[in-house]
Amino acid sequence: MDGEFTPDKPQRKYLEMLQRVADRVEDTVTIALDDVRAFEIEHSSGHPPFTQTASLAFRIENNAKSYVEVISKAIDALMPEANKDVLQDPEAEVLDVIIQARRDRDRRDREALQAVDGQISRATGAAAGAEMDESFPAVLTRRYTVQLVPRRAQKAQAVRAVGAGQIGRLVKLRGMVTRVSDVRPAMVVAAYVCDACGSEVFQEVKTRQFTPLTQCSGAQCVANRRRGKLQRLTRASRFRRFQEVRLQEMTDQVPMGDIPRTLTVHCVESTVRALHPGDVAVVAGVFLPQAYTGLRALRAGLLADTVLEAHHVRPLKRRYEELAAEASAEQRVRLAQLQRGDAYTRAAQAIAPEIFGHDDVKKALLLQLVGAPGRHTRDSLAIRGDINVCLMGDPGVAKSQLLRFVAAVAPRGVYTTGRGSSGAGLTAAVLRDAATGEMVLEGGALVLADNGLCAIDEFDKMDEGDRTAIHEVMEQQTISIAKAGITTTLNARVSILAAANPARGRYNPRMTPQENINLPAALLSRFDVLFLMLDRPSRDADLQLARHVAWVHTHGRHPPPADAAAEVDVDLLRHFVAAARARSPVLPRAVGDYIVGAYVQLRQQHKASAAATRRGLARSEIDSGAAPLRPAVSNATPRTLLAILRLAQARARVRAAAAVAAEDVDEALRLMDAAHVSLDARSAASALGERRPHADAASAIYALMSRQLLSAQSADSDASDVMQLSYADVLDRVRDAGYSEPDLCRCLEQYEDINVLQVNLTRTRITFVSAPVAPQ
Amino acid sequence: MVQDPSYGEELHLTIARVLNSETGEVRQRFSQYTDVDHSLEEGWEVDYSSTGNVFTEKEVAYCVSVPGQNQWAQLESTASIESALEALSITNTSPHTNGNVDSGDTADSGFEVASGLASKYPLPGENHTAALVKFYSPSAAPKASSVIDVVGIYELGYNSKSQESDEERKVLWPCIHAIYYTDIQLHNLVPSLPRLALSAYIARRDMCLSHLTLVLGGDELAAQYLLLHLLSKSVRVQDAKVGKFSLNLIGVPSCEKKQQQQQKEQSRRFNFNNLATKWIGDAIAQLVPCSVELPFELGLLNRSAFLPNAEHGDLKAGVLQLAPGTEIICDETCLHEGTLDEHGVRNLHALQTSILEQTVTYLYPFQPIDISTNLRILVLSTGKSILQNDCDVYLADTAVRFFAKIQSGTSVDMQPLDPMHTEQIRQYLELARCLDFNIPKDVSDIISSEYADSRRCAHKNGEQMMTQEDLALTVTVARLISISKGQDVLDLASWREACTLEQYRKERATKAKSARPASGGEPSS
Repeated sequence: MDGEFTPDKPQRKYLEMLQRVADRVEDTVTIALDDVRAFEIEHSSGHPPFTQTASLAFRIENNAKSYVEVISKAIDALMPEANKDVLQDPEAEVLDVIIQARRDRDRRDREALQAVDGQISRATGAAAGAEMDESFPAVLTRRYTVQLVPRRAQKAQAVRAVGAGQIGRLVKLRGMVTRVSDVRPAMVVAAYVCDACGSEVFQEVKTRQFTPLTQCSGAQCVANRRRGKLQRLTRASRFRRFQEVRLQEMTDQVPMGDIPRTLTVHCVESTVRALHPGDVAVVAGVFLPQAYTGLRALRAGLLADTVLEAHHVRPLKRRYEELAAEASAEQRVRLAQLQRGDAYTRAAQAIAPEIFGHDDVKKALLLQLVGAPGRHTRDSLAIRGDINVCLMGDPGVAKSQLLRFVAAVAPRGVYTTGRGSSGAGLTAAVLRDAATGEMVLEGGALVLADNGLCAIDEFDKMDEGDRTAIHEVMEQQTISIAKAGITTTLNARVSILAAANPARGRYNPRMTPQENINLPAALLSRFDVLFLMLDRPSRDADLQLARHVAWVHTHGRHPPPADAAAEVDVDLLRHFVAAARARSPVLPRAVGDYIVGAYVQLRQQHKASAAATRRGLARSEIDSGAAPLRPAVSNATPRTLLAILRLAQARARVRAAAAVAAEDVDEALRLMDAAHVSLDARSAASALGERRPHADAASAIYALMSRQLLSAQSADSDASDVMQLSYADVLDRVRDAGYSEPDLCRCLEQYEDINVLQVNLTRTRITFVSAPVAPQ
Repeated sequence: MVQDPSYGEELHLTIARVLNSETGEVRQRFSQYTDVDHSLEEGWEVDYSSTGNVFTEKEVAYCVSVPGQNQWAQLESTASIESALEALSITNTSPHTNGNVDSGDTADSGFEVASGLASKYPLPGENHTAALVKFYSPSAAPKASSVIDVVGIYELGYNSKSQESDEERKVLWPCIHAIYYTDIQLHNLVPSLPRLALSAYIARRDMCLSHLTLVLGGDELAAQYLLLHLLSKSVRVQDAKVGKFSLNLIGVPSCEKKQQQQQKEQSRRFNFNNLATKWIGDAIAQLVPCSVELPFELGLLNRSAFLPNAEHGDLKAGVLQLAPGTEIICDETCLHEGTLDEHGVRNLHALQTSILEQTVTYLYPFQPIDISTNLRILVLSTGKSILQNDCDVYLADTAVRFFAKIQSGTSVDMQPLDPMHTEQIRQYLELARCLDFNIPKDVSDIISSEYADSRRCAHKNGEQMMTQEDLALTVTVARLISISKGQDVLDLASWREACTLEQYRKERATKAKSARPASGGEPSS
C-alpha cells in the first residue's frame, strides 16, 4: 500500500522535503492533493481513475483523518538519514537527546545482560529491543506534521454547508475570521519518569483533556510488582503550537434573512498565526466531532461539538480576483454573452434598475466600479486608478439609492453618510480596547473600503476634520493619523462616490453653480466627474414613475424589465466588473496624442468661455446688476487630463479591449461634457423659458439686497454679523433700480420659499437666513 | 420567538457503539430526540473511537417568549395548548411535555433550571422564559426573530455555550427536541379568526374608528390615521419597503422631569411614566397581540442596546429584535435636555433606520448584517419628533386638551369597551392587515396622470412640487384605506378619500405650525 502513494518518485519535490525535515530545517510535510492526482493520472495506464472510489486523491479527500496517519507511517519508512548530526547541533531538541540516550542505554543493558547471562538467546534480546522501540510512540519520534493541501478545483464552501456527512473529510471553507486565541502549546505526548526504576513512560494525547498516568508500566516495575510513581517531564514531553480560530460566514454566503454561522477551527503548527481577526480566508481542514468532556459528558453523553482541524489556511486579500475564480459555468456563459453585445450600455442599465433615466450617471458609475489600473512609477510614485464621482442634486432624485446600490455591488463597498455613523467616522479613531485596556486604532469607512469603493452620502454635511482627510485620500490615497500618541499612515486606495445636496437644500437656478455647490473648489477638482441631478417635471418620466409606484404597491415587487433576457442581475454585474478589473489595457501612442489634443482644445475652450463670462458679467452688471449669465462651472486642470485618461481606460476595460481606443476617449469626453451640461443649470432654466422676466427681476433684486447687506456689514465693522435690512431702505433701492414694489414682493416670496431670507409679519424687516455670497 | 437560530451546532451520535467494559461485549444503540442515552445501563460505555458510530447534526436555536406579547394574547395561546394536553391525559412519567416554549418541570436535585439569559432577551428587565430548541434537519431551521410553534420532546439539558464557570454548569436548560415546527405570524395569536364578509369589515371599521376616536379625545382625523397605522405592514420589494406607515402623533403633553426622576430609580424596565402616553399605549395594547413601549429617557437610550450584537461571540438581543408585526410605541414626551452619548446616538440611528428602511442591523464582527423586519412604529411627541416618520399628524386642540387632562391625573370617564367588541376589533385588525392588495390599471393610470399634472402645475406656479415620496405616501394611505374597508382592489373612491385625508392633514400641519411658531427661526424685531 505504501508504494502506491509515495508521490516523490517522479519529482524529487517530496524527497527533498523529507530530507529537509530530517535535517530539522522544516517541520511540515505539505502534500498537495493536486500532486497526488497528477501522479495518478500520469501513472495510470490509459485509464486515469476518475471515479471517487478509484482515485487515491479523492480517497484521501474523503477520509483525510485516517489517511494522514497512513501517510505518516509511509513517511516514517521513507525518512532519510539526516545529513548532519542532529545531536551535535547546539540547538538539538531535548527529545533527540533523550531518545539517543535511551537507545544507548538499551544497547548497554542488552550487552550487559548478554555478558552476565549468555543463555539468553540473541532472539530474546532483539525482541526486547523491539519492545523498547515500541515504547516510543510514533508521534514522539516524528519531527513533522503532515498537512494536506486540497485540490485547487475543490470549491470553497460556506460554514453552513458542512454537516455530519463530512466528518473526517477534507473540506475547504471560505469565511471571515472573527476571533483568534493566543497561541498555546498543546501536549501531544506526555513524558514521565518513574521514581522507582527510572524508566521513561510516554503517553500519547489525542483529546483536549487527558488523565495523567500515575503508575509506572515499565518492565522492571511490572516484574517487581512495584508501584513506581511517575513524575511528569515537561522538557521531554512533546507539544505543538495550537490556536483556536472562529470562522464566520461571509455576508454573501448567508441566505436572505438569516444570520451567519460560525465554526471553531483548530490551527496547529505551521497554520498557527496565519490568520488575524477581520481576514477573509480559505481554510481547508478535516471536519471532526469533539466529544464533550467532564461533567457535560455525563449529561449529554451522545453529543459532540464540531471542530475543523486546519490543514491549510490562506487569507484572501484581493476580493475581485477571488470573485473571478468563483464564477460558475453558467455565469461564464452569460458573461460571455454580455461581453459580445453592447456590454457598456447593458451593464450600465443594470445599475439600480429601479431608477429611471440618468443613463449617463449610470455609465459613469459603471466606469467608476471598473476603474482604471493603478500605476506605480519607478520612483515609487503611485498614480491613482480609482475614479471619483460626485452626484449633486435635489433631494428625492434617488441619489442615495444609487449610492447604496453601487456600494453593494463593489466587493469592498462601504456606504456611509458624511456625518459618519460610527465613532471612527470616515477616517479612523483611536479607541481604548475594553478587554485589554490598550489603545487600538479603529478604521473608519475610508480605511475599511481600502481597495474598494466608499459611498459617502451628504458629503456637504461632513465634519471639517474628515473633509480635510478626504483631500488626502482622494489624491494620495492614504490617511495620516496623529492621535493619542499614535502616528501612522493608513492605506485608503478607494474610489469615492459622493452625493451632496445643493447649498440650500434645493438647487436654485437663480444662483451660480458655485453658490449652489457648497464645496470648496480644491475638493471639487478632485472628482473626475461631477453630475448634477435636478428634479424637473417631465410628463413622461412622472407618469412612468407614478405607474411604477402603483405597480410596486400592487405586486409587491419591481416590474419585470421589458426584455427579460437582456436583464443583468447584480451577481452578473459583479462578475462583469471583476472580469473587467482583471484587464489592463495599454495606451497606444496615437491615442495618447489624441488625448493630448483633446485636452489642449479643452483648455482653450475653457479660456474662451471664461473670457466670455467676464465680458458677459461686465455687461450684465451695467444692464441690471444681475448675477453672471454663463459662469464657468469648473476649470480644465491637469487633473482633468488624468480624469479623461482614467475614464477612457475604464471604458476600454469594459469593452474587454487590450488597448485604449480613440472611441474610449471620445466617450470619456462625452461623459465629462454631459456632466458639465447637467451642471450648467442656466440651460435648464432657459429651457423652461416661461418665467424668465420674473426670474430676472427677482434675482436682480436679490443681488441688490445682497450688496446692500454686505456694504452695511463692511461699513460698520462691529456689525459684521448683521443679517437684517430695513424693508423701507430696500424698497427705495429697488425703486431706484427701476423695479416696482410688486416685483420686490414676488422676489421676497420666492426667496422665502427656499428659505434664503425671511420677512417679519409687519413687513418692516428682511432677515437673511445665511450670509449671502458676494455677487461677483 | 427565535432569538438566535445559530446558537450552536451539535453532532449527535444517532447510532453509537457501546462497550461493556467488564465483559467486552459491544452493542449498538440508536437514539433520537434526546441528548442523553437514558437507558444506558451500568457498566456500559459509549465507544467514541469506534468507526461504527453514525453522527447526525442538529442545530440549536435559542428561543425566548415573544417579546411584548400582550397579556390577552398570551392567555389565549397557552390556554388552548394546556386544554389540549389535558384532553390527551398524558401521564407525566418523565419530563416529556409539549411546549409552546413552556417550562414548568422542576429539575433533578442539585441542579437548577435556567430561566433565560437577560442579555438574550430584547426587553431588559422583563420576565421571560427561554429554551433551547434543537432542530434535526438544520437546513430547515427557522430564521432569526421569527415566531414559531414547536412540537417536540422536552428535556432538561446542557447549554454548551454558557458552561464556563462551575456555577453555570449546575444550571440545566429546558430543551425541546423539535419533531415538528411551523412559522407563525402574530395574527395566529389572536384566537379564532373568522372569515368576514365585506359588510362586516365596514361595520367593524366604524366600531374601531369610533373607539380610537374616543381614545384620542375625539380627534377623528388622528383616529383615522392611527387606524391606518395599525393596519400597515411592510412588504419587501427587492431593496425598498412598501406599505410601511410609521406615524408621529404630535401634541401629546410632555412629561415633567420630576415625575420621571422618581420613576428612574425604580427599574430599567421599559414602560411609560407619562399618564397621557400610557393611556395610548394601554389602549393599543388591548388591540394588537404584541406591543412594546419605548420611553425616550436619556438614561435608557444611553444604556440599553437597540441592535442585536454578536461582536463578542454570542448573539445578544437588542431592543429592536422583535417579532415581525410588533407595534413599537415611542414616547418622546419624556425626552429632556441632557447628554446623549455615542451609544444613545447609535440607538436612535438604529431606530431611525428601522423606521425608514424596515431593517434591523445585526452587529456581527466586521460585517454588520441587515435583516429586514416588519415593525410598526408610533411616535408620540410634543413637538415634531426627532425621528423622521412616514407621516406626521398634529393632534386637534380638543385632543391636546384631553391629554393634558389625563396627564394632570384627572380621571376621564370613558366607557370601557365591552369584551366582545374588543375581540371583534382585534380580529378585524388582524384580518384586514392580511388582505392582499391590487391597484387596477385604470386607477393606476388616473393616479399617474394626476401626479404628472400636479407636478407640472406646481412648477408653473412656483410651488413646491409633489415628490416621489409624497406620491408613495398617498398611495400607501389609499392602500390602507381600501384594506380597512375589506377591499383588496383600490377603487377611485378610496384614492380620492386618501387625497382628501392627506389634504386635511397637511392643512392641519400648516395651521399648527403657524399657531406654534418654531422657536429661533423668526426674526425678533
